[in-house]
Amino acid sequence: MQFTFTDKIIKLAVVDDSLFFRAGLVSLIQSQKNLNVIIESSNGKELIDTLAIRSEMPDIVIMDLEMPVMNGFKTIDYLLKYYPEIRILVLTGHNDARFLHHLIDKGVNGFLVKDTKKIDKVTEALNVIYMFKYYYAELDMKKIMSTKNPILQGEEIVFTKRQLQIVELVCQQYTDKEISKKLFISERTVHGHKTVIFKKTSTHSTLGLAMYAVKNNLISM
Amino acid sequence: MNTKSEELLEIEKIAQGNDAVRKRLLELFVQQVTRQVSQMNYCVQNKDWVSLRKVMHALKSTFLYIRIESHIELIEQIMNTAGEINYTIEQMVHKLEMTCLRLIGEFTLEYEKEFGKLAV
Repeated sequence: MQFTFTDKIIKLAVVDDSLFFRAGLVSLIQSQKNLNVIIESSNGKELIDTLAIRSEMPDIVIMDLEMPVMNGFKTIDYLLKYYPEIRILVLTGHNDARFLHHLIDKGVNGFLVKDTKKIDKVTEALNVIYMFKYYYAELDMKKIMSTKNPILQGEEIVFTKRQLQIVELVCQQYTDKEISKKLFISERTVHGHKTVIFKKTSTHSTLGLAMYAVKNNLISM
Repeated sequence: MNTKSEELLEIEKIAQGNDAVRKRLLELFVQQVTRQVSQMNYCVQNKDWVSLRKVMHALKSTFLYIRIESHIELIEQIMNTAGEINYTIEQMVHKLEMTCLRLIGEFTLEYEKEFGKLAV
């Protein structure tokens, strides 16, 4: 289906580490007469390296969040700082209201969840973002806005050295057992530390903690 | 009667009647998932749970895209429990592997029926 508000060609960059997903998405996009993919990258670093040597910039970047080398969160921060004129559509497998809230606060222009039902909405989202800047139509905004943004609590959260070590290992996807072996402490102690860390960060899962850690520069990438 | 699996129909839907795109998607799926099946077996054998979770994340993205929703929960369970309950992990990975192999077989047949020999 053609969904266009403008006759102007909208130039796009697609950033996703799955070649299979990217191929399908690019094919869908290129079937639209006013959309043109000018950059394809498999992670944020590749995108940034490409932008640095190109004269023609994309109007909108379609961005995955979880990618190797440089993930979507870091890449979004970089784009907002150095390429504020480029708009960002996040296309993700995650649907965590708290982090969507955070990304909306940052100024990300739109979100879609990765499945074919929503993928059909990509062309609509791109046109709306190009013309009107924002596309949040597929989001449950009531739920998102009623959720606390974990990053904007207004008070600095202080971590002990041991807590930061555990955050780092949790983000590297080590289990409690593996962390206990690495740090020469009991699994019970690891569990205790994690409970305190989850409470401090208002997170409830490893993924949530990882996202918090990346956003707050608690871990190095 | 259409005897194609839902997953193959999903590929056709994504390709929107463009044979070159359908060919490319079938090829990429078979190559990517074949590699991921080898990787997940290697990870389980070597109890490399960190790498196993990365493979699961990549598979999840592919499965979400072609709407194999019944296995998304299984992939998430593997991601969440890898390294903690080894016996269950092996069973879950085996179940996932069977689905991947079925799809690789179906997609390869479909590809070779229309486009010739598929190099993996």
